[in-house]
Amino acid sequence: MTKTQSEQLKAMLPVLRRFAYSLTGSMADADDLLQNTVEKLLTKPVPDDVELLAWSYRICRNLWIDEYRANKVRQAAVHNPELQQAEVDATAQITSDITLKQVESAMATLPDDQREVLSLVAVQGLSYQDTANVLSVPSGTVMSRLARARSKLAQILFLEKGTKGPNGNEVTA
Amino acid sequence: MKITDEQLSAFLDNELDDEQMALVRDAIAADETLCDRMATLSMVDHVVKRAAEQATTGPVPEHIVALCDSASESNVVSFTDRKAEQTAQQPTPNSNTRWLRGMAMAASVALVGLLGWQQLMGDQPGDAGQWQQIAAVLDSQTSGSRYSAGDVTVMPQLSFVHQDGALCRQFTVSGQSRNDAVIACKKDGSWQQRTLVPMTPTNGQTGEYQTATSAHELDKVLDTIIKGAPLNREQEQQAIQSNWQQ
Repeated sequence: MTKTQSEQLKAMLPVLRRFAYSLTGSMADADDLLQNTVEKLLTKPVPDDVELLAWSYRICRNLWIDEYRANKVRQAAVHNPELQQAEVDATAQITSDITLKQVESAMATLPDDQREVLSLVAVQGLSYQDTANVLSVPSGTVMSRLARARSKLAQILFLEKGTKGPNGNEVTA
Repeated sequence: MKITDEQLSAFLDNELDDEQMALVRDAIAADETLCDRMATLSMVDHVVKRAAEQATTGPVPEHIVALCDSASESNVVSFTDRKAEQTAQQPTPNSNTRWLRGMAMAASVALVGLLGWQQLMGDQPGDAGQWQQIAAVLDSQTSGSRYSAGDVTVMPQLSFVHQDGALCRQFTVSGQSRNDAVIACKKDGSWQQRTLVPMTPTNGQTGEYQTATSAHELDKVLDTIIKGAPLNREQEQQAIQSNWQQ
């Protein structure tokens, strides 16, 4: 990795961290995943035909698949005070009706393939094609997974909780 | 016509083709509930994004930022960065410098067993004279530049400590008769070849080599035998002074 690339990577850390958080659903796991992602990025060469950000997403996602879905990091964090300090206030309000904890819980119900698509499109702002490139799936698959993820979260966050939709009306699925 | 969540979701992202966008637009104009549904789906995005932003408002841990900073303090040239260097046919150590740091990758026991044994038992350099000239470069030069060694050009790329304790170097050998990426280790006072991966020409064009597959092969080998981080420039200079003896 060139010095320029390492500077780019440094600038990308907040974005990559949000992605790691979206995947893992906790800051303790997210920061550990971020650290391992950075270490991997510094050890593995970036392919000539892949953008650094897209490559970073791929590395992060693959590490998450390999190591973090098994909840290993969560167990490790219990014994690691430094990681525990990264926990955030789960009662923080996201909207007037929804807390951070509720969003994390709702995200945790999504299948992994839907969660990663929602993270890349909704949180990271990637296009369907860019998301498809990161995940190595057709863009049509991105579209369908994303729609299912949004539908399910809408159901959990708005309908089942009996909260009001964004227009003030009761939301229907 | 029924508009599905999938269509609404893609409409939200402006990812439908023009015809579909117009179709959904007309449907929304005619049916208020579709507008409500789209707002709900949009709200999901808002909530998820805001949660991610709020959860990550704190600074990135310093030890992770430091990893990026420390990446600029080593002096190791990437194996795959070699492609651009070869294409340019000019020694450009600065632009091709790959800075490797961090933990050694988890070793694959199976790969070590298979590759390690094969490489130790075979692939000995066939041209002793050429190998002596290559060894002279390995003995005396730090990574990042190309050096003439008889009828070939040698470019040391990185140096590292093998898990068996030996000091090793990854380098390329380029010439009319061969274009290889090699790992050799200093053992009993001489450089011994451990791994050789040929770089095949692409479309017969001189100076361009297909590196993707061979790079991955060599990276896998490196991951399994490296102990700790690669040597930085200062450590390489110390190794040169000690004739690469541990």
